[in-house]
Amino acid sequence: MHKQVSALLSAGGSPGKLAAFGIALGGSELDIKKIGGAEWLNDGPVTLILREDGEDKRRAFEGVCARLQLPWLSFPIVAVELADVQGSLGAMAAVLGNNDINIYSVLLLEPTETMAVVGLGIRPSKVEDALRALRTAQPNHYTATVLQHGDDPNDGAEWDARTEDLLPRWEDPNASKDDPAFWQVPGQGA
Amino acid sequence: MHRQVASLLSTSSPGRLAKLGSALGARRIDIATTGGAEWKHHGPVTLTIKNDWGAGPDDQIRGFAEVMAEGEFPWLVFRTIEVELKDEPGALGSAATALGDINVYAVTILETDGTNALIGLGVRPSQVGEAITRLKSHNARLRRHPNDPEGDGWWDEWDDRTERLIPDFDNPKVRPNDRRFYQLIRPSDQEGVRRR
Repeated sequence: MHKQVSALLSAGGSPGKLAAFGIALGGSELDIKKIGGAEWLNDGPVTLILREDGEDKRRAFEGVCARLQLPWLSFPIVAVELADVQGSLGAMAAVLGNNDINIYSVLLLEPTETMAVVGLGIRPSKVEDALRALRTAQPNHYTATVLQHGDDPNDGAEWDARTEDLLPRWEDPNASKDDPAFWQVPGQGA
Repeated sequence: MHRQVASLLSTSSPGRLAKLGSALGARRIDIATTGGAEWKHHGPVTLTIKNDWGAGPDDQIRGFAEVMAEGEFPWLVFRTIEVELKDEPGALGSAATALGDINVYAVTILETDGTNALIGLGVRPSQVGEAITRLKSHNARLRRHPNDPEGDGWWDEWDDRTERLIPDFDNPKVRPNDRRFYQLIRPSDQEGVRRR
């Protein structure tokens, strides 16, 4: 299953963070397939998809984030094919919002002249609910699926478990946004 | 030269993406690309608008600004430098390194074909020239649109707005959703803006 990673690139100060991150990923042979994001008042989460995110690549990514002390979470990607018309993104997001399903990240995956495939980062435990809601609401307006590796539908389950473990801390307003738990290598500490 | 919007979407979610997307759709404003994430419910999203030239009958920046004002969505718009990169590990990092101390406020992959990627780097208008110089000195391939004016002939009122607001944007005492980041600009707001 492909993942959409949210990385808190610039917690309290750039420039240079994007460069450091990009160089570190490249140094670990990690290729960015898609990326998008912005900063606001010096806080800048970006979302990205690694071109290859098998087990060895996931370990390498964890190592990069630990070295840079870069907070990150990963989310399964619910890919939604939308008609490329004004308002389709909002209508689709409203379906999820009405079902109390949060979108943690969003990326336009495949724009064409008439259709657009949007990748939504959804918490693992809500993926099935999201698919059900999207398919039920307006089944003729868009198709929704989960981006998967064809050979291993359970790929990356440990990242899903990490996300579910960390989300309570992430939701806790008293927890620091760059708490070490968000960048430590799972099971190894700092 | 295209622009890249940074909008503070989710000071509390869910529902904010839906609200913004529906409002833009109702005004027939077409989003070309989007990307972003939230962190602890603080979520800037970057997007590009298909017709964002700032002038002409098809321009949608003014309509976009009105939507953002009505929805009280903070936003800034940066100029997009389009960089053609080989789609391989480290390419983005190399381009960002070339920029040195020029801040990248937004980043998006605009096009990719598996071999090459077109990356949009959002920089403040007053640093576009220097950013292009630095990227070219590192042999970066930049895409220029045929209708782009020479020099800084592309500069308009929205660039003035960004430059006027950047000091507030960089001021830690200014709230992220300060109304100045979404209220409509008036001509008098632009007085005294330094372009360089």
